[in-house]
Amino acid sequence: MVRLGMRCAAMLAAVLGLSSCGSDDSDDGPTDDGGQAREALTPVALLTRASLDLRGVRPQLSELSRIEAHPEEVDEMIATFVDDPAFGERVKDMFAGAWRTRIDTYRLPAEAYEGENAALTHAAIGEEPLNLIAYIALNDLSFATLLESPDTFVDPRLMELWPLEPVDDDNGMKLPPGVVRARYVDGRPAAGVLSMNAVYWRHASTVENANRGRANALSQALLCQSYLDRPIDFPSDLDLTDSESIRTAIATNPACQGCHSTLDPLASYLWGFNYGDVDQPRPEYSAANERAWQVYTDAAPGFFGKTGDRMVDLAAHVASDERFVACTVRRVYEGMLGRRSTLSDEGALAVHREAFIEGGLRLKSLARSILTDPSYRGEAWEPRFGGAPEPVYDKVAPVGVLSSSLIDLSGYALTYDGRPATRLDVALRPLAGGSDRGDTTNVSTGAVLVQRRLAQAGALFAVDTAVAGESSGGRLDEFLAGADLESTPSSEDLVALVRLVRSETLEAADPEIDALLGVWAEVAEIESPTDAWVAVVTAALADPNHLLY
Amino acid sequence: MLTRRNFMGQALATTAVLGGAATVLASRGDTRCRFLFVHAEGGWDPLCVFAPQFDSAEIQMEPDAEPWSVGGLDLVDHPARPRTRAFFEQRAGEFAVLNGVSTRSVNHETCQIVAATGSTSDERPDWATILGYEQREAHSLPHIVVSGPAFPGPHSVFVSRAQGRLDQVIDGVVLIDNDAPLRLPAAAPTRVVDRFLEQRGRARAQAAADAPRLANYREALARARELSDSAQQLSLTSGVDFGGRLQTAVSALSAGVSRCASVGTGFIWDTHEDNAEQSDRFENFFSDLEAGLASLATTLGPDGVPLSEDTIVVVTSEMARTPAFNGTGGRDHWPYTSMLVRGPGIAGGRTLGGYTSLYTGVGVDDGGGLDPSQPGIPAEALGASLLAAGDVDPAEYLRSAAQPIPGLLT
Repeated sequence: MVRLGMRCAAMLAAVLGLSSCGSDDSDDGPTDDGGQAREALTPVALLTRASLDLRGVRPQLSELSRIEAHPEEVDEMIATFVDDPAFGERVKDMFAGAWRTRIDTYRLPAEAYEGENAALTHAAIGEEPLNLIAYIALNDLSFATLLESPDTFVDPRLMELWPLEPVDDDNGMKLPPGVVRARYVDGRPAAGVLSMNAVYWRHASTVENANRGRANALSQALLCQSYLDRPIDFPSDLDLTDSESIRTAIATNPACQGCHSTLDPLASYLWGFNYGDVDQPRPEYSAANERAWQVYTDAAPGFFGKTGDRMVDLAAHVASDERFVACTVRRVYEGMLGRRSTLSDEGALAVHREAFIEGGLRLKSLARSILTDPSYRGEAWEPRFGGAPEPVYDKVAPVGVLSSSLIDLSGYALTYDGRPATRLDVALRPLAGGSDRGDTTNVSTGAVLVQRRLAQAGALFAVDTAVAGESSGGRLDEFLAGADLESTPSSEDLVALVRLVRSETLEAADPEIDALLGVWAEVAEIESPTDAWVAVVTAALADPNHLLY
Repeated sequence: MLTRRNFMGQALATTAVLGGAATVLASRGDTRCRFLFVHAEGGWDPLCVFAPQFDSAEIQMEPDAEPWSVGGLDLVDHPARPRTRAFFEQRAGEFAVLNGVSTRSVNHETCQIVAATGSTSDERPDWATILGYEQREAHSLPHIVVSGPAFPGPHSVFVSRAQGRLDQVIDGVVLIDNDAPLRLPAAAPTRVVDRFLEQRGRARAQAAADAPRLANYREALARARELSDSAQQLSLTSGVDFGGRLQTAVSALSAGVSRCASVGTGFIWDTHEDNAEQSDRFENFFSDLEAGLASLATTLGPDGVPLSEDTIVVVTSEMARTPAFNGTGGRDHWPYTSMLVRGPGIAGGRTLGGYTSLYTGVGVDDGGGLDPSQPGIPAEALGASLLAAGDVDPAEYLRSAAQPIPGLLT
C-alpha cells in the first residue's frame, strides 16, 4: 500500500510537470497580482489555530504565556493537542459531512422512539458512526478499525431500541463522552461502520433502487468518489420506458456499465439492510435477505472486481484500498485547512498520506503531519511530490468550533430540546453556514449574525452569573470574579480580557484597548455599568478573530 | 434604515416614471426584476398536468386523465384535481410551460444542482444567487433561501437561509426563546458593539492586503448590521408550510431586503409507492401558489409598484417520474421534466419544448417551435433566459453555447 501511494505521488509530480528540486521563485516578495505577500502565522496564531482545530477551544493562558516566552516550543506544544480528550469531538466534526448522519430528524419505525426525549434519540442515531471515529482517534487505533470493529458506540438510550448488548470496556480504552460500547446481536456481520443502523437509516433505499444510492453514499464517505460526479448521458438507443430494457442496458450497455459495473456489485452487499418501506426502517438486520440481489439485479457482491460474499469481505476490500487511505487524508487535510483541496494540493496530500501510512493509519499521526504543513501555517511551499498549495492565512471557523470555543469561554450553550442550536437545521446551523454535508469554508452574513448573537448570549450569561456571585462554568469566570462590574474597567482589565478571549496580548496603551473602553463608556451613559460590561465582553466574543483564525 | 435600499428605491422610482411600465423594461433585461424561485422537491410528475402524452403507446397516462387546452396551453386534466384546473383557468395566459427540460441524472441531489445551476458541480452559484449577487448593492440579503435547496457557490456571503431562526437571530429573540432563556439586551448597546466590530473588521482587513475572507467579513458585518437595524420592519419567519414560506418570500421581496427568494414546497413529490399521491401534491401546490401570486399582486415593492409587476416566478422540480407505473402503482425517477415561468418579460400562454413518444425531451428551435434534433431543453438555457431577463449577461457565468430559450422572453 505504501509503495503504491509513493508511486501515485511520483506520477502526480510528473503530470504536474514539477520536479522535487522545485524552483527558486518561492521567496516572500510581492505576489503576482502586485499585492504584498502575507506573512506566515506567528507562533501564537499557530497555537490558536491548532488549539481551535484539534480541541475546539482557544489556548489556555498558561500555554499562551509559554509560547510568548518561548516561541520555538510551539511545534512541540501543538503536537500534544491530539492527546486532548476533545480531539475526538473535533474528528467527529471533520467526518460528519462524509457520513451525513447529523440531521434534525430520522424516519423512525415505532412509537417507542417518540416521547419527551425524542429529539435526543434523533441526535443519538446520527452520532453512531461518528462515535466510532472518535473512539479510534482517542485510542490512537488504526483507521482500518472503522471497517473492522465488531462493536459500536452509542448513546445509552439506543440500547433499549436496537438489538444491542453492552460490551465491557477493555483495558482502559477511552470512550467518547456520553456513549457506551455495545455489540449488535442480530447476526449482522461485524464490519464496523458498514454494520451500523444509522448509516442505512440515513441513506435509505427502495427495493427498486436496489441499494445503489447507499452504495454511492459509502463510496463517497469511504473513497471520496461519487458516481454522481459523472454526468449521465443516456444512450440514444435506449428505450427508457421499458424497465426490462433498462435492466439489460445496465448490465450490458457500455455507457451504463461505466458506473453500474462497480456500483451494482457494491450495492449487492447491502440487502440485509433493505427494509422495503423506506418510511419504516427496521432496527434488526436481515441475514435472510442478504442474497436478494439474485432477484433484483443479479449482480453478485463485489468491490471493483474483487468478489466477496458478506459485508466483512467488503470491509476488508475497502480497508486495503488505497483510495480509502487517500480519502481519509483528504478529509482531515480539508478539515484542518478549512478549504477544499484542489489539484495544487495533491503533492501535499501525498506527503501526509505517507505520514499516515508510516504512522499505522492513525489519525493522530495524520493530524500531526498536517500541523507541520506550511500551508496550514500560512506559508507558500512546494511539496516534493509537486504542486503549489495555497497558504491558509484566514480560515473560517466551522460552526462547531465557533460554538464550542464560545461555550468554553462563557459557559453558555444555546440549545433546543437539549440539542445544540448550531447543529440543528431548524435552529442556527444553516444560517451559520453548516449543513449535514459539512461546514462552509466561506464567510456569510448569516454566520456573522449567528456569531454576534452567540457572543451576546455568552456575555449576558457570564456577566449576569458573575454579578449574582455564581459560576458560569466558563473560563471568563475567573476574570469576571476579579473585576469590579459596577465600575469602569481599567486598561489592565481589558488587556486581560482580550488576552483570554482573543489570545492576543496588547499593550495597555493600544488603541484597541481605548476603543473597548469607549464601548464601555458609551453604553454606561445609557445603560447600567453591568450592561456596559456585557457590551464589552460581547465585543470581545464577537471579534472577527473568532470567525476567522 | 436600509441605506442601499433607500438609495436604490428612490433611483428606481424615478426610472419607473421616466421609463414607463415595468413589463416593457423587463423585456429588455431589467435590473429591477425580482425573482421568486419555487422548487418542488422530489420530482413531480409532468404527465399529471403539463405533458398530455396521450398518443404514445409507451407512456401510461393516469386513468380518467384527459387532454385539455386552456389559455394557449395544452395540459392534462383530471377529476381529482379541480384546484389545479381552476388555477390554470385563471392563470394559463401568464405562464410559459417548459417541457422536456433535461436535468441529466436520476439522482435527486444531482438533478437539483443541475436544475439550479446548469452544472453538476455544486461549486457554481445557482441562478438566484447570481441574480442577487449582481444587485448586491441594492439589497442586504440579495438571495434569501426561505426553504429548499440552494447552491451559493463562492457567493455565500450574499445568500442567507431563513430556515430555522433567521428572524430571531436578527431581532435577538433567539436569546429568550431557547432551553435556557436570557434577558433581551437593549438595542443601543448592540449598535455600539457593532460600530466597534466594524472598526475591528476594518483594522484586520487593512493589516492584510489581498485577503478576500477579511473583505467578505466586513461585507457580511455591514449587511448583518443593516438587517438588525431594520428588524422591526422585517418579517422573515420561515412559514411552517408552503403557503407560509411563500409569504415570507413576499415579505423579503417587498421590503427590498432581497432581490431573489427561494422557496421549497415541502411537499414530498417522490411518489415511488403510489403515484396517485401526485394529485394531492398538485392540488395543494397550486392552491398555495395561487395565494402567493395573489399576494404578489396586492403587495407593493420598495418602489411602490405591486410585486407581481416586477417579479418573475420560476417553478422547478429536479426531475420527473417514469412514463410507466412500477409494481406498486408509483413512478420512479426520470431525467426530463417540466418547469413554469411567469412574470414581466416572459411570454405566457405558451408551451416551449416537448416530449417524444418515448418521453425523452425535445428542444426548441430558433423560432420557439419544437426541434426534434435537440434532446430536450438544457437547464442551462433556462438559466441564460433568467439572467438575461435580470439584465445579467449569461456569457459571464455560463458556457458561451448557453443561450436563452427562444420564445421565452418577450
